[in-house]
Amino acid sequence: MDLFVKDLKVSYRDKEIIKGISSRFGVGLNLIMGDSGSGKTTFLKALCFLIRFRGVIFFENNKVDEKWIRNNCKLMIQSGFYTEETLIQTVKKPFEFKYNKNKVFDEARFEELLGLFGLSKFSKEDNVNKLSGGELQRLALIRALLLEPKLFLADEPTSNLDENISQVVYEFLRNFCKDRICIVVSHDPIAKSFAKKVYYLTRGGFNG
Amino acid sequence: MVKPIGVTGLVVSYLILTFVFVISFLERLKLERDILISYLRMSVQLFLAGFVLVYVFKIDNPFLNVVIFLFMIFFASRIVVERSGVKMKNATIFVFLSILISSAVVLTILLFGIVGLNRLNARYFIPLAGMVIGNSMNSTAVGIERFFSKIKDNRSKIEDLMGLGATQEEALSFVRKEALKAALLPALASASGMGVVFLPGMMTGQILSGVKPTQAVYYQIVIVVAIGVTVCLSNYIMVKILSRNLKFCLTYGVI
Ligand SMILES: Nc1ncnc2c1ncn2[C@@H]1O[C@H](COP(=O)(O)OP(=O)(O)OP(=O)(O)O)[C@@H](O)[C@H]1O
Ligand SMILES: [Mg+2]
Repeated sequence: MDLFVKDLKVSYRDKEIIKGISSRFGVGLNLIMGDSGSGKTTFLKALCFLIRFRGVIFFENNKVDEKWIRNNCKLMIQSGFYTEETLIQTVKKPFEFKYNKNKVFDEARFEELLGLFGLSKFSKEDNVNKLSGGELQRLALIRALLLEPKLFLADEPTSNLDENISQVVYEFLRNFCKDRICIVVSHDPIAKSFAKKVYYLTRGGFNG
Repeated sequence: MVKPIGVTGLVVSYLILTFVFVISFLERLKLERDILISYLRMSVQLFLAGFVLVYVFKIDNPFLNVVIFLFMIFFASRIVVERSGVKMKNATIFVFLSILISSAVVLTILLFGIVGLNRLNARYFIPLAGMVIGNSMNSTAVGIERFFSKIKDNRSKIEDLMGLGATQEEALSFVRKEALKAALLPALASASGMGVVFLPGMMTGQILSGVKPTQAVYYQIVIVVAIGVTVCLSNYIMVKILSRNLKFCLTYGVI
């Protein structure tokens, strides 16, 4: 399994932010690092067909389109998550979508992940308003993980977490990404040691 | 049957407008010009309408009636899009279709099923169409404004849902919900107040022209229901069409 991005470019109005990325992402935890404002979020959004871009994306040598992405790719955004009233309603929401029809919500797994990421003090029926920023971020992570996508994208999944929990998250992700392609954006210094490959985004392209 | 008002009546009624001018002047609202223009415009439009209606009723040609109907809806759609400040391409066409489909369905049932006409009689069709379209216009203006402002304020939530596999239509479902609620509430509130807080214009008109109040009630109830249904249908069709045709391209903002 691999994802090949060919000459991907994104412009906001007349300003070119991503200036032609060509890169291959294999199975495992691929880490993207780079300065604030370098275009990491923009790159993930383009991969997920949330913004207009130029260039081509191939999955196992087949050109991917929006339909394939909605089916097989799940993105955890940086902030501003959609929530329903309760924790369980929030994580169950994506299972209503047409493209996720073949997926089954695994409640036991949900509870297991709540425990693993330090959210066991909450009940499934609790109101999401009770959650702090970092707690909500973990809930959003769980929500994306439960969908078990072929291609998993995450934008700074640990930016509001302390070091211990971040460690747990990356340990989990390393294992989770064993049989799928993960592309994770992070500033987190500890992320590096869990990554299979690290990419540095500077001035709209990858270095190193 | 109605006691005619005449020119003196009109003059007196314009004179009462002085209150509005005085308040605008005292409170420095600087609305004097706007007030003058609005009321002048209203008077001219109504005189013209009265004039035209005399002929429309006399000719009473179904084809002409339908043309007038389409013209009214087109005019309403333009006002909706202008007033709500929406810049989406083709918005006028989408609003036009929404009001057209919903009012055509409701008016067909109303005129032929309930009133029991056997042809498109201008005397019934034009005024009833006007009420239904007018209310649709006000509510779709609210609905479309809310639809776009909700999208603007909740961009990241929409991206979130699409990032998790939602189609654009699925991701916009919470936006549609809010827009529909906002558009329907005034119609509900006005239905609740009727008869107690105020007598609707149509019923007032019928009573003034000599119809027994108990009979006027029948007409009024039917109209209020027809308006509610059209308001609901037109907004529903509109938000559905909008969420399907919107190019949710975040690069250049919505549209
Ligand atoms: N909607 C937009 N319109 C115009 N410019 C934008 C828009 N979104 C992002 N940008 C610009 O594009 C550049 C890259 O933004 P992006 O969000 O991808 O950065 P990032 O690498 O994710 O940064 P951070 O680490 O702070 O999250 C920034 O200079 C930003 O100002
Ligand atoms: Mg970012």
